[in-house]
Amino acid sequence: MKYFKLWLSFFKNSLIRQLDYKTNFIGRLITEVFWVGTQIIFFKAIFLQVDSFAGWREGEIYLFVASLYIVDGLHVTLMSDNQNKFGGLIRMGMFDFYLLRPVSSFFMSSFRFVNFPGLVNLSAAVLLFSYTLGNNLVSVSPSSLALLFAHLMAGLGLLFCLSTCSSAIAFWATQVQNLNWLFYELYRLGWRPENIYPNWIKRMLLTVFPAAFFVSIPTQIALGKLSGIWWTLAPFAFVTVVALLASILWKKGLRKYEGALS
Amino acid sequence: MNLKAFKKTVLNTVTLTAEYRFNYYMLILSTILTLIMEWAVFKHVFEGRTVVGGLPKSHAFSFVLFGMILRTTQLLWGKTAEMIDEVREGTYRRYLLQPISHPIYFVAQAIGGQATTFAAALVICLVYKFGFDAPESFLSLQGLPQTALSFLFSCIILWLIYLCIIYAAFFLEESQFMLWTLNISMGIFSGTILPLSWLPEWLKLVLQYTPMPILGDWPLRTALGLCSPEEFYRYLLLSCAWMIGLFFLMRLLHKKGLQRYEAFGG
Repeated sequence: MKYFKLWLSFFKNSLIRQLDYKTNFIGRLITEVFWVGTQIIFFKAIFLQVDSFAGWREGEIYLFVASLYIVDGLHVTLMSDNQNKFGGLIRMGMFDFYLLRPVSSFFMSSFRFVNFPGLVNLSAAVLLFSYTLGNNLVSVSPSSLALLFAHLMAGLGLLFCLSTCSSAIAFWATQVQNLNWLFYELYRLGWRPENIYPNWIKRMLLTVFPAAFFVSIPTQIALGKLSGIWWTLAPFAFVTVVALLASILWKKGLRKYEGALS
Repeated sequence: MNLKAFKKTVLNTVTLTAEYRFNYYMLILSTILTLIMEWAVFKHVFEGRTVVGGLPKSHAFSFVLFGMILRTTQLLWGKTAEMIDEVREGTYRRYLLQPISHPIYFVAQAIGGQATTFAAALVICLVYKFGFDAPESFLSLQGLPQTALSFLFSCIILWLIYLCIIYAAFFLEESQFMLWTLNISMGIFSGTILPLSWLPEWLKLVLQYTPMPILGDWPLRTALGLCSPEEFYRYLLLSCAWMIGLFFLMRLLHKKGLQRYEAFGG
């Protein structure tokens, strides 16, 4: 409860900070609209040429894109800005100030800033879900839909833990800008269904860097393309393992950190 | 124009850029991943088909490869973002003291910063053309002058757009969003990720009134040998018109922006 109240203050503070620069705020909303638009146009253009794409029908792909908007929207809104800034905090020694606060330094550095333009993606997700399900482009039962949202949240958790692992390397490497870039490139692989890739990439996306579990696997489970207890539990199993790994890395990193002001 | 200063800036930028080797490794890795991602899409679209939306299957890989090369060589978002920050933070004043004007300095930085990428792109194109199963029409000897011209013009137009975005920061304080919007939409709207002919009709109609097709579709299809002479000359005329228009817009924004600019340090 204490952390939730604190996060609400971060929320208000971030909103005030961003609304101070109105042109920039509106501009960033426009940028998000373009990102959302290009994702849907990309698949629309493909389905104007073919009826089926790697075993996916048009409606199924729209469900995939709507799910992508949810995961990416929440990631951009709540996490990505904080994670991009983390390397700078360590390098400039500003992380010292986070350690002095009477709350978890992990919470502070992970959730301090809220990026409101990311909410555009969530609005787009609602619209696309309504369009896809309302026009019967795919049939998904309410229980499958509930499972889809649970899996998407697990996917988001997995994304958060993986990016925490990547950010935590800043404790050792200091300059992690390029690592963030690499992480983003790998994350981008998850913007397409994993079964379009060559086998070795597909295997990588299901194991070493499980980006397929962010959006693709949850959507396939909801559509009934994948079934069985393994697929139902796998996203939760992955998030548990990676969360443990992230927690170990963070603790070891904190011990390694020497501070810049001491 | 002070040619000596221009040349020195180019050479200096080449040296400075070469120092950040890790950026090159990342660029190579990111390029390979993008190539895999885009080729995977084309492979599935062309499954059991010989032509899709006017693009023959034999030219599909060349399209993906050259489209990516085009984007990598043209894009200058890092430098542009840096200069927008300089306008906002007041450190732009250092350009006012240099022996060459800022637009010329930007072009020198663009050429210097991208020199290694240009060289790498040339090597990749040559290796693909002569070492692999590239179609005959890809970068053919007869089509080479047209390809070079369309590539040069597309770079000039994009760099003029970048300059307009930098100078817009004099008025808006923060114009990074324009840069991000341009980068996000350029791949799809310029026709380097998917052929423009695949896009919905209404979008093609809108894009006709923007410089987007000149930035990607024109040099890409010219390199692939898929651009008819009529189309090439139509694009050539259009690109000249865009260059003139953007040049005057850039000059106006720069002039009016400098009048508004108040640097730190009095």
